Amino acid sequence: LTLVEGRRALSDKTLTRRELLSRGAGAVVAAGAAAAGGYLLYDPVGDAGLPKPSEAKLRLPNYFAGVDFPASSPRISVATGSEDRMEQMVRAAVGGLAPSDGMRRFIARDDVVLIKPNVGFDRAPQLGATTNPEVLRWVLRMCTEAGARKLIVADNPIESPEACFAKSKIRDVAAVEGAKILLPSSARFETLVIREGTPDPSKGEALGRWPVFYGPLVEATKVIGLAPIKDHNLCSASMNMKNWYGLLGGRRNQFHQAIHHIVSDLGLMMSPTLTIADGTRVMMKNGPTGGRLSDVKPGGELGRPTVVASVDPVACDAWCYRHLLGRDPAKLAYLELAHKKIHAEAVQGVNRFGERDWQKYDRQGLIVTTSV
Amino acid sequence: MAVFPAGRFVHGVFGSDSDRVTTVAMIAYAEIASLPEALADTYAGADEAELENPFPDPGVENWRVPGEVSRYTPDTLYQKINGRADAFLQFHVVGLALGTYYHQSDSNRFIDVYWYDMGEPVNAFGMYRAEAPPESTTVSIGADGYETGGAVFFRKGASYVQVLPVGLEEDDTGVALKIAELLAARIEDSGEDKWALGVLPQQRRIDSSFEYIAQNAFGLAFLTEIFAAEYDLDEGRLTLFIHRAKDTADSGALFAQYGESFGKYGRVIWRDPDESRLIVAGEVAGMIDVVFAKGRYLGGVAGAEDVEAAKKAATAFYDGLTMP
Repeated sequence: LTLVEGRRALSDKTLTRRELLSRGAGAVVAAGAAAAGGYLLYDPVGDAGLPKPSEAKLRLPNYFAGVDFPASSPRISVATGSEDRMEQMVRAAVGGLAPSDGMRRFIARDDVVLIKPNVGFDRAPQLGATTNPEVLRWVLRMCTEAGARKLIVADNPIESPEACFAKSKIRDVAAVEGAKILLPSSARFETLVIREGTPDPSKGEALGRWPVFYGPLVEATKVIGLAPIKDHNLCSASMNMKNWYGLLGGRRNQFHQAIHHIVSDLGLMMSPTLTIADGTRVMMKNGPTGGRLSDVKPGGELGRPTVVASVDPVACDAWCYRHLLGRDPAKLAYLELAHKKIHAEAVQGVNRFGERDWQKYDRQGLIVTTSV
Repeated sequence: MAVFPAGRFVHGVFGSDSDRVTTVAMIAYAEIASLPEALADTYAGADEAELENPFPDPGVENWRVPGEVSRYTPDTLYQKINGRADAFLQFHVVGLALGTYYHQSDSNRFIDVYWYDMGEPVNAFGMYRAEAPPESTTVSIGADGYETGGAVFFRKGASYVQVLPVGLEEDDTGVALKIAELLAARIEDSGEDKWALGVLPQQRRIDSSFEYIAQNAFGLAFLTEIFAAEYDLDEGRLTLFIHRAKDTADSGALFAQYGESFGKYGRVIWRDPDESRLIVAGEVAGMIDVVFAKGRYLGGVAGAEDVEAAKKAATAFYDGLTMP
């Protein structure tokens, strides 16, 4: 490790030492929240081009709500393999959650499925900055086999969407598998209500109402998140919850000032039908852009290409952070924030999972691993 | 004629068929309005100087020079590299020029060239070192040029250049190297002030670990413009650092701040008994720093695990540091 890397290792690249120590190592999460305090991504005067509060009524549904998922079923399913066994890995990962049904547990006949990969950069797929198109291929294929009526692939890169979809090869795979790509345009954005009222930064809240790339969601009945696992300069790791950042519009660069608030709010905003983490080419440093093959390690710390399927995006992120990036989830502020936010919904009867402590699932036998 | 505003420009479409003019204008408006600002400016025809194409023709059959150059400022850099922009901003990036070379017969083959202007050579060095992999194939292009996975990286003067083939053709690496060579020849070598290499102890130094931290060094907001290197000592691996302050008063003030940070975030564990020597050791979150001020220099050992080893290395560094 270089000096800087060594220092970053102390705080697991989440907080600077100053932030960490000013609050004590035991209060990392609070530090993450407080470090970004004062930033409100709420726009009461409309300078982000938002409609008046009375006009913003859309809320995202819980896309997991309709899934009949027994409490005793595995919440995390890990499949490791090799680059030439991508199909087997994806099938094993999804199948591990529902051995008797596989993807049919999640996708029903005539569903319209939105698959949200990370297409945020115009990078070649081997660089790990974007979702591995071969993982996408088999997710799409399995949705088709499950009877999906329509497949939509969408993302909202900050830079040229056409170039991103082309260079990442996502466009080619989507075309071959019969999926429709929806690119962002102003007509496809709507202001969504992420939470009522003004967000409270002291509680790690950031999003009130915000423009979201809603076009792909208009007709979607199911949503699958498909994110590559990678290092991130600002929030330590870009994983499943961070992937929903790609649905946001507006002046989202300002989100960087409150990154842990935002990522956890994204986890609250989107309850996907299924979460699939692409750990085939893990970008271990220089994220989120990378650019060097040497930044990429197949399967990250596991050393073998890995695909993880889960019904719990928070636990899935925690597991990937530990096993693929080799970092300590206890020090990643947005995991704890997301856990609290989602737990608050779950206790009110909302059907969704948001467990920060992946080891709890391990102790309960709710994590399955398959080698293909 | 149809006229519409988009980005910083007013655009016009001319023609004899009003329906077609309207249609073309609507399509153009939609496309330009959806572009990032920097791209939109290029698309619209920015100042002539801005449009000058800095990218060389590699003279290789089938490879086309970038037709457009996208330019980004510190304010717009996130539009291209998103969250990575902050890392460059830490090193005071001035701008990015981006061009893409296209293969004329294979649409899957591109070579992207990211040319960062870091303002000062030391910033280019700092950012470059922060991103460089521990192992790579050295190439004789610019300073510390290397090739990894077919991509070529080098720095020269205040520039940091990344030449990134998108295809997997082995031939593309040769083209990338050619582009990098030609581009390096176009960049002025404004020289580097390597004073820190002369001040940091030379014995047992791991030269490949030498780095520059522009801001927020070791997580301390007051600590900027630090040079550091790792040392393979008998007591283990240690990191030594040095900062050259404006004058003795400035280095003394930084020394005081550093000492205060120990008290605030951890504890002071040792002070040199000779009060004329400003050397103090502190422990923060299990890591030991020993810091000193001598003349206009602030230096020491950072992030050590062993107190005695850190003290020994820091005092030896202090004793060996001669004033210019």
